Amino acid sequence: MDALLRMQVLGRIGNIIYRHSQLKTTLLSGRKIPYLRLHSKSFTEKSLLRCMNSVVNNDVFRRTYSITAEQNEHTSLTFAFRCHDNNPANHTIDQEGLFYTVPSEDYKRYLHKAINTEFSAQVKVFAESCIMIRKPALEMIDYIRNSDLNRPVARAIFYGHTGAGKTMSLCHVLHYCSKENWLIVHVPWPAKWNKRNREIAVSPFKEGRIDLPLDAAEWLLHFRTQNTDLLKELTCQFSYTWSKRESTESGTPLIDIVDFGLSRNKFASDCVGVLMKEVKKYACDKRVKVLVAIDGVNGLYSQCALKTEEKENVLIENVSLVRTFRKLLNTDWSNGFVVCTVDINASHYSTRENHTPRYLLGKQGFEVMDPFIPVQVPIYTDKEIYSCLCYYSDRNWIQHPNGKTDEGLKEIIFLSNHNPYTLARVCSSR
Amino acid sequence: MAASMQTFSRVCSTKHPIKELIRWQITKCSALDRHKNGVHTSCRLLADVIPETFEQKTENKAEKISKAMRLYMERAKNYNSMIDKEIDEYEVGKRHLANIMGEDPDSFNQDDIDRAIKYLLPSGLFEKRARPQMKHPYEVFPQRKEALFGKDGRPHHYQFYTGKPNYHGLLHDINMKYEHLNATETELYKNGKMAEEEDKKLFLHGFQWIDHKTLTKQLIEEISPQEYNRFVLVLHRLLKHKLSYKEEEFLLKYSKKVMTMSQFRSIEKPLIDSDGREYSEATGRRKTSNATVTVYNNGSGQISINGQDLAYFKDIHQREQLLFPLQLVNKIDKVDIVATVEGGGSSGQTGAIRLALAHALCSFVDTDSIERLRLAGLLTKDPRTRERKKPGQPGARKKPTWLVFLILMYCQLLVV
Repeated sequence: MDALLRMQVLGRIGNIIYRHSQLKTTLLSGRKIPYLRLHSKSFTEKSLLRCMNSVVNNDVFRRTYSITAEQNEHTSLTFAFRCHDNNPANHTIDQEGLFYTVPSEDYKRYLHKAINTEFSAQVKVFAESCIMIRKPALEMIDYIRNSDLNRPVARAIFYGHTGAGKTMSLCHVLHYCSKENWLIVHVPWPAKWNKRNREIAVSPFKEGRIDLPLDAAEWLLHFRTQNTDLLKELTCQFSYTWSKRESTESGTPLIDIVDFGLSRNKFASDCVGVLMKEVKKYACDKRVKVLVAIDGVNGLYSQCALKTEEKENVLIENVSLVRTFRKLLNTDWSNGFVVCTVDINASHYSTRENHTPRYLLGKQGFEVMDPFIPVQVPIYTDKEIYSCLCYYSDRNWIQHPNGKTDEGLKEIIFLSNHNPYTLARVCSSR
Repeated sequence: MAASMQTFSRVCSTKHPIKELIRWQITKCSALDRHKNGVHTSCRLLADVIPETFEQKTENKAEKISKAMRLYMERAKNYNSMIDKEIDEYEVGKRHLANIMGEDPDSFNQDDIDRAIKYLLPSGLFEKRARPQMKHPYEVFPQRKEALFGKDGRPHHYQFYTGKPNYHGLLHDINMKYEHLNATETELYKNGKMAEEEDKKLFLHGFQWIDHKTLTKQLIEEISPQEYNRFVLVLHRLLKHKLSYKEEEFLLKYSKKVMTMSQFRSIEKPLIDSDGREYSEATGRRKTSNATVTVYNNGSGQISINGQDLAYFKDIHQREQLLFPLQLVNKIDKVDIVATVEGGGSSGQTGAIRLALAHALCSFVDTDSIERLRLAGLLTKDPRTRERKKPGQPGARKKPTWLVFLILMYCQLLVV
């Protein structure tokens, strides 16, 4: 008998040691285990423990016990929920609802900053990063694969209810493109640049612009982690003069500009602008394919809560980072693809009634983005939710034995209302 | 007392006829110290009540009757004669009443008597026991115990000296049964036959132990609440035993069936809509919210609240409110729900929908489930509402802080 099962059995018996009657029913129900058929009065804790080892070695006991243990644990959670093909390029609609594992180096490189706190917490707990293959992401990958890159960039928008999985779909697309060796311009959550109490600075490039040096540096670091190899290959096509003493000649690798931005935070925002200009140029020259992925793109078109030192409200158009990334949404370049999500939470508090792109982007944003491909991210279907529950059960995220019964699963599904985010919250111990 | 006993012995020795002797002695006793203690009182009583038949027997030393027995017999005789007299009066009164009412006296029963009394002596008194009535003497006068001891003064019952022989005897019986079951269980374990007995366990669902009053009546003994609790405890222990089914008859003797309250409610039959689908409607209220819920049978668990799905309620605990009745009757994904709700906040709205939902579900479930719903409090309206604010204080109950109160008082004083 293997050590693991032995420990398990001993642990379980230890729990019921104080209940003689229960013990009798559990262990002695019609089984012929002569060692344990004792009168209840002689059934002390000590003698029980002493005889446990010999009992556990008993063949009959082992068979019956291990079988019942398995029966208890798998009621209706018997679906196959894992996809063993971890390359997003090979995923098809047949694998819908299955979980594929993002290798940990890929996760650290591409997705670490991309995802919300709920998922990153899960990754930590589950010791693996698994993403469910869902229809919206597959649809988007299909669009990217079949798009004509010679034409001006196509824009696509994921939209859906809060917690429906827009960001996760974006991550799936991101993983696909990074595996296809695209250059990735990923903006995790531009809405956070609109929040109050950020460190701001006056732009050295142009009067009236506002820089966010720390945020820009953070983004540069993220950009560098995602595209280290490509940035080393590509070189500057123009030369730039930052100040009297600092300048960048044409021909230096783009990674040097990133490093410069990181070391001189004052110019970080300008570095972002320069990089985007270079990237666009490279894309137009067909040197590199570019994926622009912006999570919560309506954050670029909402109200800004920043204030200058004179306590004046900052217009969102004057934030240099916002300006830079807005330019990427225009159709004046090619050999790329723009995938965005619109999210209620990226909007201003006053405009959170509807989750559709037109409402969230507003007039200004919609005019820029139009025409775009809308892809709705729906809540889970029955197949998907059972797959997810299997996964949670497998990862011991659902621990209570009643949670694994049919009634328990029904309750969980009812409470979550098929919403992926709520499902994760309901299953966790609140 | 000592003095009187002395007199008694002296008189005995003078060999007077015993009847006179006792009379003489008793009168003296009663004159001396009538109210001093029990012995004298009993002596007096004994002398007063002694019947002719016993007097002769007492002369015969072989057949002694204890004082207690004599006392008891006397009491019994009085009681019986009183009851006989009362019954006679009752019978005569009944016939008389029948004649007044112009009915047949022979077939005139208790119900007729009650009716006649109500007609002849109408009373507006609220308390029913205070109204005029005419009952059989056996109902009016309390029953008395049989003699607990023989003529020689030896008690019949082995628990006589506990003071409450019937009660303690019962407890003893229950305990003996319990011990017996224990012994049987041990025997079964030894023979390895216990597994067969597992599923025979006795459950008295829908039964209740007889109440304090009934037990007192049954045992004809005064039983304190503590003693009643003890009785329930012991009985409960017997019921919990694995082999309690062997004593089912005994246990049923001390329990009575409880009428389920929900049986009194009329259950509406499900309606059928144009598509031939069964549905039922109900309304519910809580705080200031009103909800109307339509439950469709044989559904797939779809929910619509004011046109939205369950996302209408953002919080988990609000969804749990709706889950509760469905889960209790195991209908989570077996019915479709359409609800409209208005007024109030989210908790009021969930409460209103929950009430309406539970009522609507009653049409599709069996009586047991309805009873479970009722016991869970799902069929009861929550009557709590917002309490109004009172003048002179900041809230419904909240009082001003002491400082503010002082300032207010000061201002009032200034005005006055």
